[in-house]
Amino acid sequence: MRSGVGAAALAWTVASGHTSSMVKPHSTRVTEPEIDLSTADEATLVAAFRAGRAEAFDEIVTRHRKQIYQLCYRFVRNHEDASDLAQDVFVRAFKGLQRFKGDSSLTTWLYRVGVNACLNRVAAKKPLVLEAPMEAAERVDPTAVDPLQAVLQHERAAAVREAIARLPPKQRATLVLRIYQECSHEEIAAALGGTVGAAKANLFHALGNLRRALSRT
Amino acid sequence: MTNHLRPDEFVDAMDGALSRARGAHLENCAECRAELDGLVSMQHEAHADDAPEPSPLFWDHFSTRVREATAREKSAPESWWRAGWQPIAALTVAAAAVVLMLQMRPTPSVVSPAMVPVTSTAEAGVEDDGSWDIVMGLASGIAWDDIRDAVTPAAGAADAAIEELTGAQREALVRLLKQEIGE
Repeated sequence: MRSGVGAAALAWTVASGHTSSMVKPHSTRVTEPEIDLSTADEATLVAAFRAGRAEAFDEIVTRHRKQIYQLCYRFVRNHEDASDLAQDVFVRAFKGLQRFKGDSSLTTWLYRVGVNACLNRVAAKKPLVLEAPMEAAERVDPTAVDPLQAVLQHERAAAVREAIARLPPKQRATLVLRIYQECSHEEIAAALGGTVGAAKANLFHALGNLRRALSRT
Repeated sequence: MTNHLRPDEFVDAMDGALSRARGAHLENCAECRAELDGLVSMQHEAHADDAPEPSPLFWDHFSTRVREATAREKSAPESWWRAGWQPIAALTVAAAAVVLMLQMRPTPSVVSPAMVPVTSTAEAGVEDDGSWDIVMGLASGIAWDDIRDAVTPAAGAADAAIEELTGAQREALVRLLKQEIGE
């Protein structure tokens, strides 16, 4: 699937009367933009960024910051690290966007950058510091209808998170993208590299491994 | 041979996208149904774990942080391998040229020093040497500043090289030097 970055670049260039900036990105500033970036599609945003409009990247961040933050949170499980990691993902994207070919959607490409950054981070930070069941229990509302049931649910949720954290990297990334980010199998395959069949098989094995891990707890 | 669902077919079944033929197998296979039920249950359980939502104020703060970080990236000096690729390439070419010259010239250690025709090196015109053309071709695009450091011998390097010569080699070297200075 091509998102038409090249065509959008041409259209943007013609609309803005801007030609030389396509040759050397970031070399010039556009003084009178003709296109409203807040309503522009992804391809147009990428083309505008390549042509030197810094605000195009601001718009990309605004549109995707929530998804990327949530992705990072699923890997590091705390707000501070997730926000640092999400920032790192966007800095990487900023540096790599010139090489984005438009073979996948920008969202998928950002997920790819994000998953790589997350897997690198969790690999570098072993052993994982996970929320302990007792810490989870401390957050339980004592005024809940059934506090004991609430504690048990929190403990189970913590066990699920721990089991997810112990999955092999590709299975973990597949599960996070599918279940929490609600990506299609095609998007997962594009983000992680591989076939759609392999993405489905990874999800199957991830869920199976989770079941086995939780059955032992 | 069993005909149970494959992993990708289980996922298709979870998505409601299993083919009619494989769906017929699923209906009649208790083992596959049990596996599918377990997968669906696990998926629901994992899905129920919500991530906390940051404050609405966080997002603007986050965008500002990213903007500042990317601004630092733009103003930061290029990484050494990007900024330095031209001198590195020049040094590589210069080193290759030196190696090529060393490989293409006659090896003095193979021939007895007494047999070395002392005039051969001096008399051979460099213009007639094919290796010189290659060296000129490789080095023509290189600024002298880029290769000066690579080809300038370090202080004491000549002394060290002489120290490593054998007696016969030193005699041959002395003979060559005398020839050069006209003694």
